[in-house]
Amino acid sequence: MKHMEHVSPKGLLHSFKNDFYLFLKSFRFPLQHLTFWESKKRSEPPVPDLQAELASLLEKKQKLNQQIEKVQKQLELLQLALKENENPAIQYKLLEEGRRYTLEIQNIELQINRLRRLMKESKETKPHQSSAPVP
Amino acid sequence: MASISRCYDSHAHFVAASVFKYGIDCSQNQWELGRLNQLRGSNSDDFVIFGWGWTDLTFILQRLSQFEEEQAARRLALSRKDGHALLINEPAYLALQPKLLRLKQNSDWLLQHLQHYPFQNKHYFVLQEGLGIWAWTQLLQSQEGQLDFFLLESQKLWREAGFTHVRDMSGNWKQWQALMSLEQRGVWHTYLVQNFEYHPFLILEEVIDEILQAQKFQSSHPHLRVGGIKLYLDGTIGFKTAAMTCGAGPFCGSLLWSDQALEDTIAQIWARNIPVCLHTIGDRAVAQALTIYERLAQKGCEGIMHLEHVEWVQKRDLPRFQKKNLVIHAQPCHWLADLGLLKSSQHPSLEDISLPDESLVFCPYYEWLKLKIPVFWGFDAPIYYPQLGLNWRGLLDTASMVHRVWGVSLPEATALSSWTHVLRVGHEYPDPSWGACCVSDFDENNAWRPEGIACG
Repeated sequence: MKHMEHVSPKGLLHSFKNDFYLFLKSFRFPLQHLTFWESKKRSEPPVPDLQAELASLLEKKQKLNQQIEKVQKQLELLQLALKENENPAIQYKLLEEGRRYTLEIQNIELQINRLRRLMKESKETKPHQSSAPVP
Repeated sequence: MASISRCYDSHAHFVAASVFKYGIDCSQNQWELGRLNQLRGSNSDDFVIFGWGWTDLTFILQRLSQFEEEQAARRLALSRKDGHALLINEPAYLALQPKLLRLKQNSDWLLQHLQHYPFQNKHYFVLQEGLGIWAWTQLLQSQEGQLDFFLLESQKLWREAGFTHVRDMSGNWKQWQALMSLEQRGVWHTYLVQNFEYHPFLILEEVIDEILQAQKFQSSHPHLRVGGIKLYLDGTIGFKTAAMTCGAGPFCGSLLWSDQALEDTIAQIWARNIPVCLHTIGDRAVAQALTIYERLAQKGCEGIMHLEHVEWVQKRDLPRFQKKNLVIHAQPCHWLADLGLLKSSQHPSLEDISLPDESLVFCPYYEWLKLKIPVFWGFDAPIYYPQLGLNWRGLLDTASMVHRVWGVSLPEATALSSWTHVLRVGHEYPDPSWGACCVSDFDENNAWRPEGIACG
């Protein structure tokens, strides 16, 4: 197909790799794509500030723990309501809501475990990477 | 053939099987959503449209462009016939974009794996290899209810073929959650081993976190088990991306991992006591996996390694399969298609494939039999749908082919009773305590007898 030749993957890579931005512009590419490529191009590896990272992780963990308590309470209330209610339609709705909360709790627990690991790792790597005193 | 306890498909892309079955069939050029609409009624309007089976991109873009006119603004994703490349439209791309931004790879890597195709004032993208496989899962999970729906449809496919135990290769935390939820609702009856996928552009520690978290829920979900982490070492035979020995076979694909990166990754996974499952189709990929196993063992690092799809093997590697923690999975049914592919490639007939010093072995099932190495059979759905007779035909075909083409004598392998035993053992889940009551009855043609399943 003749009209496809100029957009073959190899052609794309070889002709426009160094100036991909202009190439996209020439096709009136939507702005979202430009911002995507631009941000990928410009992204530089962040300088690790472990002290700040640890502080933000601790803060995040505290918030997650509060959230998990809240969600667990809501789940308990729902389970009570489910026991008391005999209307099948309402029961179904409550069950669905309960499942949603269960999923939420599972996800929050996953995040908490991830934070625990990151905190452990940042503590382990701290003496080698930062001169700041360990709190 | 009479009955099989805990009838097991050892390699499946579980949810993809029903997604593709009811999606657009690109190989037959069937661009209707009739089958999906039949299943879902009018509720399917919000689903991402999936399809499967294209080979020629130019042809498919023309047809896709016409189809898109009728399905304005719907997210659309079409997998190549081997599943290792994904063509998506602009709405699907925009849905993926925030996730693509979070990948750890740089722009050069993305340019190689994500190609842009402007076509008739529309924008299409092809995501290659792991990126395409990952994007497919993300799109499926982007629409609420779609994953649950197709998980249940897939369950029907396996149960209707008589299979009670399945090892799913394409999972993640979200799918695990969906499965737990379905089991709690009392609608999940399949004994499913769930493996989690990892690609080099993801953060390994996050996948490990997810798998460890999933393990915590295992005891309260009797139908679900956490498997290991799946890595892709090479591509496929159909698209000549499998890592074959150059010059010995009809093509020569490349390895997706360097030895060092693979060794580091496996060591990291094994350190958490998680098994690894390696996609190894070409003989060089198999050899690489064995080498890494040996290198790690020398350093005192041990763990379970599953080799998936083992079909082409270097003869000198055969004794290396005798390892304590190495589990082999193969799909004899693949041979039926691979033979056709090889014949239609540059080599008009199988006899033309040169094998210098007979260094390569095709489908070494009979060799494993001789060496008493256990092997588990699967169908690699959706490439093949579960059907016991397919693997039976594949086993018989390979035995006669090996005998005919290379003159290898196979007295043990060609004995029918021996092959029947091999088929049955390879399709039985090895742990008798898991779903112990399940027994599936098959007739003399290996067809499942629906009245013969004894598993709740």
